[in-house]
Amino acid sequence: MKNCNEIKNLLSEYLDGETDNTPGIQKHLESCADCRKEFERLKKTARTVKDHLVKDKLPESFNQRLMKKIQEPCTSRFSFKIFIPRLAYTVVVILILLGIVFYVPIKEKFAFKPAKQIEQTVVYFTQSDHQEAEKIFLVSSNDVEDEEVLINLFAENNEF
Amino acid sequence: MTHEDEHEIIKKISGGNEEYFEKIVNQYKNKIYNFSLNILYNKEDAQEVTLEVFYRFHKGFKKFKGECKISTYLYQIAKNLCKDFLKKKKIKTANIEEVANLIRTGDDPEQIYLKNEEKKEILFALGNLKNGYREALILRELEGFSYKEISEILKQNLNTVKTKVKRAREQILSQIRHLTGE
Repeated sequence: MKNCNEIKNLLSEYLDGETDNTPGIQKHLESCADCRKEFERLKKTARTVKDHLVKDKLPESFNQRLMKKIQEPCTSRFSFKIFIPRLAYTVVVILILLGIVFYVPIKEKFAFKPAKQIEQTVVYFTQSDHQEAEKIFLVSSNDVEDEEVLINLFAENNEF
Repeated sequence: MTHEDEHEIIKKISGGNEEYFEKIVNQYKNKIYNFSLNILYNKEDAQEVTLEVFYRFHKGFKKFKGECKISTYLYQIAKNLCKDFLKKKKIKTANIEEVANLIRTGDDPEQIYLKNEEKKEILFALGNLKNGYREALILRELEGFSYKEISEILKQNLNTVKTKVKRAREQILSQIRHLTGE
């Protein structure tokens, strides 16, 4: 057996014929003046709203306007075809702005730095029978790992 | 129109039969228009929404697989377009001037004035309902949709729809007690 609060909660559904408990609510309303008053109030509200909703008719030209719109190329303000280029434009602008903001730091990070010259191996050669012979062979340590390789490299180039 | 009839109509429209498309338009155009009008409170906006609803239906019916009734599908589009309109115009509550513009004049000036004032109050109360309550109540009162049909249109569960209709009526009642003889 439902109490008045529970019944009042169901009155809107009961009014719309959407409750499973129609006989139960009906019986309660027959015996409870307070719930019956609430139901009448609700019924009046629903009827008042229904009577005062705006009802109008579309102009005669509506169908013609619709067919014209359907046959025309897409110019609707709701159009997806207009939306996509605008989206693309927005994305491009954002990418350009991001590029400008991050360009300098990236540039500095990846700027060319000359190879490290931890060691500079300078090789001088003098030939005993040619006093002025002097060769300076400067090798960056990036090219060779150790002295042995350096000597071999020089030997190859000068055919000793 | 049964669901099977609608299925046949969709097939015919897909086949390029414009006569059937026009049948659908004629059947539902004023319903969609009045639904939109009671949300937007502006005739031009409501006409534009109605136009767009059928335009989208025509362009998109190949995607429509008949999983719901045509009317449900049309109202879903209308509801979403109205929501976008209100968002774009940043309208959260009813504009009393727009409401007043909707009221028609008639013969007896005094009677018309009183009726118009009453109508204005009710429409204003309706326009100030919480988001989502108004659509549910309008679908119920204007078209007599069942709660199940309303839940399909609004894509909400049945209990949510029941609560919305109930609360909408309670809120309206609290604002128009004097009109209902309280």
